[in-house]
Amino acid sequence: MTSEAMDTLGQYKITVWEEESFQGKRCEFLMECPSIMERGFRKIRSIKVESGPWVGFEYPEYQGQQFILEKGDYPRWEAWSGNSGYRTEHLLSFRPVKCANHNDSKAILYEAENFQGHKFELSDDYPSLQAMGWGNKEVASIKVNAGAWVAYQYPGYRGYQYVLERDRQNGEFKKYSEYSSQAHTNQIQSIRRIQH
Amino acid sequence: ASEHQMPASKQQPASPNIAIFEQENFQGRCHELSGACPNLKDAGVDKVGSILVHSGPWVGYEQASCKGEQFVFEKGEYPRWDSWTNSRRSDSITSLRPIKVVRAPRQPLPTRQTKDSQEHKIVLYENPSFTGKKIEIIDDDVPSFHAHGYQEKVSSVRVQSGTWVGYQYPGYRGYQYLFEKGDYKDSSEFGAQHPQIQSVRRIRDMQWHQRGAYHPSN
Repeated sequence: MTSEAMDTLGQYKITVWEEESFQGKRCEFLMECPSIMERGFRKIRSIKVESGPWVGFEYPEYQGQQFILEKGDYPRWEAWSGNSGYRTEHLLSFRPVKCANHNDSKAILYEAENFQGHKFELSDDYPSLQAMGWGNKEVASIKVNAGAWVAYQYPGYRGYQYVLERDRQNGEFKKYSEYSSQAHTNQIQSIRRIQH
Repeated sequence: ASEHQMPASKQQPASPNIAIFEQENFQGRCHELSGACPNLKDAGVDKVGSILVHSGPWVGYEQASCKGEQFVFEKGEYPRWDSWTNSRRSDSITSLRPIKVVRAPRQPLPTRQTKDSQEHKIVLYENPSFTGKKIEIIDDDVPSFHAHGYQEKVSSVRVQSGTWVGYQYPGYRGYQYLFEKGDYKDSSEFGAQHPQIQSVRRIRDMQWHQRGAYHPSN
């Protein structure tokens, strides 16, 4: 066990089940899980987060679509997924989000890659960036100066999710491909702070 | 990257405007609305495939006359039905109306509290008729009630200011319930079949809420 993993013990707790509505095989985790299959699970169909937040991933080793998991009950996959165009019911790896701080979160959105062009400084949630004046449906680069954020493809926190943390990549996401391994567009229409 | 239109720094209050396309990805016949439509079929809309909100917010309903499951639409682009919901129950929208937003009071207060003058306040209660355990939220969004120590059901709601959306699951997932200023004595009054709400957020639009709005500087 790494010292980093030791730090998280007691602070994070998630329970996953193979079937919907907290039925079937279950397993509790206090730290990251790079592959649920290695625990003998074929799938995850319901989740309880007792202490969070966590981020779930479509594939093992933290690859593919991301799903933010804050404290609460998720009885079926629709409760965490919100993707469009490409549906997945997989959630095969997950890890804690360590730097979330709802009360002190700061991020800057940029119109162009590499932190260029018009910028928009955020410290609050934006279910519709356009309703609050951002001129288009795209964000080309993002700098996270404090806390952890989740950005979404569509308004109202729907579509692909991108978890953006201050302590990953130094909080710098210079182009959309750095938002996530599966990001294939710079479309971001809503963004919010992650609750810890 | 193409050139983007940035908004004028001085925005005029716009009348509500929504474009409904019969096919996904803004294809097919297009219908524009600028006010409530109690039955889209009567207005000649056969189906709703994608939605562009030019000026909002709006709420769509599964059934005619603003009944059934609710879907909130804010300014932006919604290319397919699962960009506004992943409900198991329904993929149809039959009626739509603009959401009434009450302008936040903007009196020139002399003290530093000015910037904190309350724009949004909601109280959610465990039991009907505003009884039992409660969670009170002022000028904030709450993606997880559990993170605030509230794990009870929600059976009644009082909105003192602002307009809000509640969701069945954490992180703004599952069934949506629109809360406009006023009292909802039991869950049927906000359209819920199961009195479960695990996240709630404000509806903000710079037409009424200047705080936090984006003004490009050149």
